[in-house]
Amino acid sequence: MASSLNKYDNLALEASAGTGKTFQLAMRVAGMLLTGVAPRDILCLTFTKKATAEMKERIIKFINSMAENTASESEIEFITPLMKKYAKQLKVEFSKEFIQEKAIIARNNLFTYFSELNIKTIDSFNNTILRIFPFEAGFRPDFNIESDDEIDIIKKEAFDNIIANILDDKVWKEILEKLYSVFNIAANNFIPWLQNYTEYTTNNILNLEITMQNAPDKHKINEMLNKILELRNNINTQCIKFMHTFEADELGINQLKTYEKLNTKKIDEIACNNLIKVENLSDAPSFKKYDFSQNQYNIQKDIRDNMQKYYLLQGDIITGLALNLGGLLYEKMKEIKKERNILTYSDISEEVYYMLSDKHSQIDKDYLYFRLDGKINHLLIDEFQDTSISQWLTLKPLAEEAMAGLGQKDKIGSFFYVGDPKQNIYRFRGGSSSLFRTLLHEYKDKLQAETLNTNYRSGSHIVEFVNNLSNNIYKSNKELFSIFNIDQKAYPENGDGYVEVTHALDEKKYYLDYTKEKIEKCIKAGYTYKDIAVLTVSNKHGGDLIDYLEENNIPVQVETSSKLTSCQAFQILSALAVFIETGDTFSYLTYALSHPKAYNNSFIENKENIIKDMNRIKNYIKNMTNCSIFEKILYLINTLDLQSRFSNNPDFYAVIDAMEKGAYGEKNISLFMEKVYKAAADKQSSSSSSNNAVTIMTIHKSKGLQFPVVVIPNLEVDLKLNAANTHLFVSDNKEFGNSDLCSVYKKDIHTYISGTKAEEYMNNENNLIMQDNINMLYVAMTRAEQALFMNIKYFKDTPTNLSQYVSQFIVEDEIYGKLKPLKKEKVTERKSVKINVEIEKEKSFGTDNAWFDTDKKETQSYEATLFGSCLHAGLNILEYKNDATIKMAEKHMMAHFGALLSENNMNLICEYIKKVYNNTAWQKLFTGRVFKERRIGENNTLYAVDIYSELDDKIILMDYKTGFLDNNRINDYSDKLRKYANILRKIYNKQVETYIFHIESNQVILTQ
Amino acid sequence: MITCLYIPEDKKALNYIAEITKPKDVYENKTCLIVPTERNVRHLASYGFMYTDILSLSSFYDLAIEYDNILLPKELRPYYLLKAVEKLNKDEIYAVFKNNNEDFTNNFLSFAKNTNNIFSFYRELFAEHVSVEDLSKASLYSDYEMQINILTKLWDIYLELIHKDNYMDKWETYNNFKLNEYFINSYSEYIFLINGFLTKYELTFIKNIGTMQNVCVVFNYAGSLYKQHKEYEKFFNTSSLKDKNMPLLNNNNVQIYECASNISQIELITKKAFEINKKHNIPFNKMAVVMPDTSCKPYFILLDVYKLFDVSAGDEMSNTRIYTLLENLINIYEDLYSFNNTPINNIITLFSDSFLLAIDEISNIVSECNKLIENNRQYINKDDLCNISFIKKYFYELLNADKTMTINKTANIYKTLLKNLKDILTIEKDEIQKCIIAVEKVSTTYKNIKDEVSFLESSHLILSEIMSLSIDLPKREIAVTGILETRNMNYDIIFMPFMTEELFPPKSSKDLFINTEIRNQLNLPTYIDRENLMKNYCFQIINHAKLTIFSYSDELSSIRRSSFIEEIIVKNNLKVEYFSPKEISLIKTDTYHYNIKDNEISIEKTDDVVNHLKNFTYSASALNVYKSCSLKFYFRYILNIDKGVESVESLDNQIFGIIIHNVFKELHNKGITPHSDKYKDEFKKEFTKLIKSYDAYNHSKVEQFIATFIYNTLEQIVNAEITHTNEGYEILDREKCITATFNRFNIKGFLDKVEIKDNKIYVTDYKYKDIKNIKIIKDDNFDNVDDIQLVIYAILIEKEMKKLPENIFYFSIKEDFKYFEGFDMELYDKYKVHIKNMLNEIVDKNINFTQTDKLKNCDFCSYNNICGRNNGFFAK
Repeated sequence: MASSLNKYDNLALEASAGTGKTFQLAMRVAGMLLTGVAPRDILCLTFTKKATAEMKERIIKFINSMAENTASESEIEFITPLMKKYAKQLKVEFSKEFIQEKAIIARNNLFTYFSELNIKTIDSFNNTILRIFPFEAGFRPDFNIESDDEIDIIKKEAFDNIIANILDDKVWKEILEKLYSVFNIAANNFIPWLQNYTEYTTNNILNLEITMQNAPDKHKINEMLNKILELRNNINTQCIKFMHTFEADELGINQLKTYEKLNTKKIDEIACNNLIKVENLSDAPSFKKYDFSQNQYNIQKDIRDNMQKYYLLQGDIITGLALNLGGLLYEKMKEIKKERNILTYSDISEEVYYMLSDKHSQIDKDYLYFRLDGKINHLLIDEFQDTSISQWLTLKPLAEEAMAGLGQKDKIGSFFYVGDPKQNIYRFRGGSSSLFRTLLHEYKDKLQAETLNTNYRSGSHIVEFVNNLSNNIYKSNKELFSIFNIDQKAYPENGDGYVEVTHALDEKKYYLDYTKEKIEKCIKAGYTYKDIAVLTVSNKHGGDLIDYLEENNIPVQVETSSKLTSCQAFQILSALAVFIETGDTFSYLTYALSHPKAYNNSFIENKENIIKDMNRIKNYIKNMTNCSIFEKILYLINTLDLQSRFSNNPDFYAVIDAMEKGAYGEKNISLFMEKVYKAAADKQSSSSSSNNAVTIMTIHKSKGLQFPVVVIPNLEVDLKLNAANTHLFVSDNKEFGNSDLCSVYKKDIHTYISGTKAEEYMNNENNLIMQDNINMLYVAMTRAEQALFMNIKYFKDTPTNLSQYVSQFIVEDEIYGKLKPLKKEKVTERKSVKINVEIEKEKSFGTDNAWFDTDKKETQSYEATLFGSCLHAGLNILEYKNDATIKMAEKHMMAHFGALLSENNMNLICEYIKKVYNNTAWQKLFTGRVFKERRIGENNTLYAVDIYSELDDKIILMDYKTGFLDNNRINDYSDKLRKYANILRKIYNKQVETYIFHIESNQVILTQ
Repeated sequence: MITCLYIPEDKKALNYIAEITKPKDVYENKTCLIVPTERNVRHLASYGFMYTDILSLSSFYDLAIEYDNILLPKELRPYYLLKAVEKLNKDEIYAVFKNNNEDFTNNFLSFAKNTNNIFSFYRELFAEHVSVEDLSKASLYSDYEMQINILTKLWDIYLELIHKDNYMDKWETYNNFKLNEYFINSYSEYIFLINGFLTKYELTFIKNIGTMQNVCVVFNYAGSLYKQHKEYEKFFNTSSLKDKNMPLLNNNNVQIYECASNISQIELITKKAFEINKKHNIPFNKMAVVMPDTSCKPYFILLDVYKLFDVSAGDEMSNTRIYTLLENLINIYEDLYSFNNTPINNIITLFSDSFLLAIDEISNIVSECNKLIENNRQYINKDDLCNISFIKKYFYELLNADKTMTINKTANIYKTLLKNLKDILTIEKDEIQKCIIAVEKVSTTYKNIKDEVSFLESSHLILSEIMSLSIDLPKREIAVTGILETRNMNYDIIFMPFMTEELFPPKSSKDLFINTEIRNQLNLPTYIDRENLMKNYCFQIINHAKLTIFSYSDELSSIRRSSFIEEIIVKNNLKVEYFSPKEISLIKTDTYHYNIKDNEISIEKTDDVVNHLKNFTYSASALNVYKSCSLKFYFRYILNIDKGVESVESLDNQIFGIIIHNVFKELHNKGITPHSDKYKDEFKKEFTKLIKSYDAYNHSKVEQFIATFIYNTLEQIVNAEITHTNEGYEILDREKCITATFNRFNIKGFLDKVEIKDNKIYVTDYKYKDIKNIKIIKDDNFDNVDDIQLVIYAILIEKEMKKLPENIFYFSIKEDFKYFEGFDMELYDKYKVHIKNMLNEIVDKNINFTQTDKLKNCDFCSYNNICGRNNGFFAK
């Protein structure tokens, strides 16, 4: 494998799928550690937590294998040039032993300073920064990170608040009323409709900084609305006028229909009318033979002109409104978040950006490093294509510093980033594939570029097929798709591979049969179900596939990106919790009937069964009154044997864990549900991977994975080449903070914006969407190791979805290679150990866990406790025949208890102290050796003895007491003293006399 | 004189200490042994020393140092610091806190929470005898120097303030402490057992004792010396500490398990404990579970089904219902204070506890609340709430508390509340007593502070005091402790679960004011040192154990095992086992097994059910439900289960529809007809009246605004109605309920309007829907018809009036406002047959109730949870 590791050059490594990107990154970090770079000098940023974990593991493994001399040849080969250079630098002879010697040092270093090795996700790095600079960002240091779900609720609240506020403003109120009329939105959809636009702006506020400043104000928007209302009237009048021109004619049925549809107030309907929609009136469908008059041509043109004005104005109104409200919402959200001290990860990234990279930032770099607790000399970024511009801008100062050459204390720094622009599928999160190359340009003097070209993953046919398709795409779009100009080499050991591309029938459900057929074909060829992955575009249509394949007895396992909260175990256990606490039948039935079901269908045929069973469950727990809900659930898991029901489903245990973490002691069902939901919300539902089953997953989820066989059955759904999902978009002006906000125009009305700036933006956006889609396809195809099946649709007209688009380049069905499994080393499966042990103890659940007080007596008041402690502390100091100790005791008590104890009590204690000092029985103790506040123990129990004295013939033990004293109490105390006496007797082998010293009455009582 | 020793490799710490102390334990000698923890004291107490006193380090400090003044309770530190901050100027505040937001200093609690780092800076500054000059020199950053100077100034102001109130701060003495000579001289020899780091203050303290009496400092560590040990030796002027060998680890004395889940880790420990106990005859009390973090504690409390685990830290007070109750009450107070009302749901939440609900008074409150919600109420105002006798009796004082008052006064309110609650929460009376003491503690601590603080803040202060309490748990055999508590202790078997990177080594926070670089320059322990110390404690405890069992869970792939585990695996070539039991025996008894095939739900009809169905009265909506999904029909009409009422939070189409329906009805009842002049005005008036019965409307300006759109359409509705009337339609009845027998089946319906014109009958159904969504029946394609309401109406009219309606209209009251034909009466006969068939099908014993094929019907079905169609497809 080619090494990117000559020295710590600043390097941009463009690594196509399967070329060993992670290997390079891990090796680079390992190489640094081997050559003496301290862990704290390195910052390596990855895209996911999982990647972080893998990276750390790889680095440790590699360095250890070097230290143990068990590294593979290719690894040694990879590291050798660097180590040679290092040896030269140290002026020592290079040898294999040299590597090992350095590796042992590096290994020790690594383990000692492991926490200093910064391998993190960008999110957690930003979080670190904000945790260090909370005040600077205007937050309190103990801010909480909230999930997006939680924030959505707050957003709704904030938005309603904004609307309520602006309704107090006359102009705004007018605007809203006019909007309702112009846009013809249903009343109850009106607010969500507005919120949708508003949120889009709020979410993209970083890009829209300048546009925001130039946004029209409310008066301007109001004027625009007046204007558009006027335009609407004009268009309506013109349409009526237009209609009059047909009056003398006898129109055919279709013509008449079209004609009648002109009589509407709704502009969108007019826009779709065939008589208006066509640029040239004589092209109007069903009017081909009609002889239009010049007047009609003129009116139609006038209408079209007005339509253009109308739609452009509509776009301006929407964007103007979105910018205004978006700004307000942004501010409001900020206010709320500050007040509640909460942030989301994207807020954090944004705040860090503002703090570090904004023009007005007041934080200088030295200060940053000081607070960051060290300077990062080496910055490495993984999956750079998915880095968003704002993320990059916060890293920029670090990268520039790293590239600057000599750094602090003459350490050399470096900057390295690796990724594949073709695999950027996170544009919706702000990822930008263009950034990869932009940087190369910006730092052309400092950065080198390298490309990894050997594909270690896929067979040669697959590599070639991907090459060809990519290059065709590049050729037909030129510079816009320059990243697709690729020429990957296949790694010979991976064999030829197999590619089969077919063109689907034009039937909706064809892909179901297609998938089944291809899976069967692979099985026949010798693959196992486990080898096969079916990649779909969205969760939604994986569903049909699962059902269909299951119906056809093909085992399926689903890799979802769904949350733990939507898994069945969660639903069922929560329903059970609600049922046992509230008796709700609905929840009971959810518990009983959800998959996997607790009962057969016949069970609920009789309502009595249900009632009986509900009572049975309630009975089980009827004595658990003071147990938490979770304890009851645990008990029920046992009695209802829910483990069998979920048969080793990892989600089941994950839900138990989440319940335990979130709400193990909760007794209030509302709060229980809330807490458990919160604890489970950021967890992913897992799927058992050990089964021999076909994997079905989304392309997004498949990123970073690989499978022997990949089937892509259904490209045409969802992957539309035109903006359709959003109402607004941000024009990609590349320069940050300087983009325009644009309104999406539906395909129907493109004709009215032709030749305008809006059209240009729209086209740009559609190009980017196309690029996104092609990236998605690229990711999907490159998951395949040995066989790739793809189903595309015949191309007819202008392609509207990706499948059609691809079929421009693949006109015929194509098959390359032979479908045959490549024998690969099998990864041994982990086997769970079994512990067979007979347990004789009896099991008991949740009943006995209620607390019990070790000291059965009623706990005193706080003042009484203080009183006792203070008195004991004073007595501890007191020594007979030493008056000074009285003063010392008082001083000590004052220092330690003076702040809390009342003056009266303090005086009382001082009096007591004197009483004790003057008590003759007490004084007698000092004829022997005295021990105070001594701990004595037996069988792991500990007692504190107030005072005792060793005399020649015996021990005298005294226990100080204040407060009420009667025979009962004396008996209680005596019991305790007897225990002490027993222990002391053993230690000193002397008789023990025990006394209670009732200080209040200055009475010393001998106990039996 | 000071001598330094270390625990030899082959010795257990406390045994060794006992060994060197034993010869000195004679009548003539006065020896004092000082050990780090109470646990150590307890352990040594049973060694039977006769003349040696054993003290924990902290109680020793208390006795050995003399203070000339009253010590400031640590809880009051933030209070005085805040007072001090108020004396700084704006620029200075900004320089330290980087914040000129006034909220920051206005809110005592949040200030206190956020000044921890300042106090830890002070503590270190004084404990390590670091001078401000040293710090400034160590960093070249000028802003830093300024910050440090302001912080020192702040400390001076703080001292001035507390001195004025006759207090002193313990930290004041760190630089210049006074030994209690009388006490020190009462012993002739001191033996200190030391595990971790010593500050300059502690070193000086020991050294000073050394000038008076004999001192022996025994260090306990595993492996080689820490770099700090060199410092200590230099300080004490000795060099007797030696590197030790690390414990020898191999697969015989260390086992490492990767577990499939957290719960399986507990399974592992339980089974292993029994296995070891049986095979090797090691008693359970020689075993210990060492947790990296207290968050792991609950597992050992909850899953202790064999009563093994002795969780010494106890359970959390926040798990009691009294705590939850207080927390919820404070939320309600907050609402009442700001808005004079609170969402009814908050009251329901307050009492959603099966134990509380068993109390009649409380369950009545909750059902009253539910009734209010049914009546479209969302909020309950303060007066109404406090008028509920139960609330009045127990919570009135709290809910009506003034906005600000002294902390003491707040504490009294809580004390009264808690005392009263003891009567109803009998089951938790001991916990409540503990809470009362905690409240008293707060009240005592702050008794001299007469400032008025917001009730909310002091409530939170009290809550956090309560939260810090723990509840004792029954004594058991296997100790479950944190790592720090294991210092110097010995167990034969050590379990260390949850060893993930996240939890171990525990991350100590980096300091804001003294960073690693400065620490290195000044020879202060860095966070890496502290982490490595924790690792060292682990090695110490492993050292003498016969077997150590590490485990961690791999439930999330993003969680890694701790680098500590990694290190011992790598360096000792250890094997990792995988533990993923098919079943967790802790929560499993072999009772029965599930052998249920997860096929679609299909319910056969019993004779009872068929009889029930034969006598059932079918409404149009019941039939519509049947048509959409027969299983849903089963749930809804045979099992009679329904989702409970949910509060109306916003006005949607359905609500507007209901309101307009009711307006028509009300006017009809009042005898106001469309012919009347005041029809229009009354219509609007009635609408306004009805909409005001919704809290969702009353409490939201936005809803009110939206309602104006609807209000503006009323004119058109009324006009359409008037026009319609003017066309000669004469109203016979509105909201007419008709029941009839149809083919031996009972059917019924509420007809919005029945009219007559030219002796012909007309029926109208109001629809609040988008025009395009109002489906009219114009052919006999039964499958496409979702709503057969109008057909039923036709049948009912025919039965009741012995005459078929001439026409059945829909009247769209949402948009367009037109009457139009909803059902082509030409199709009547065909539909009659269709309905007859449907009814026959319903009572057909051979046709089961099944889930619908039309999946889109499931999207908004409220029963989709039950039949598992709630999550789309990936739910499986």
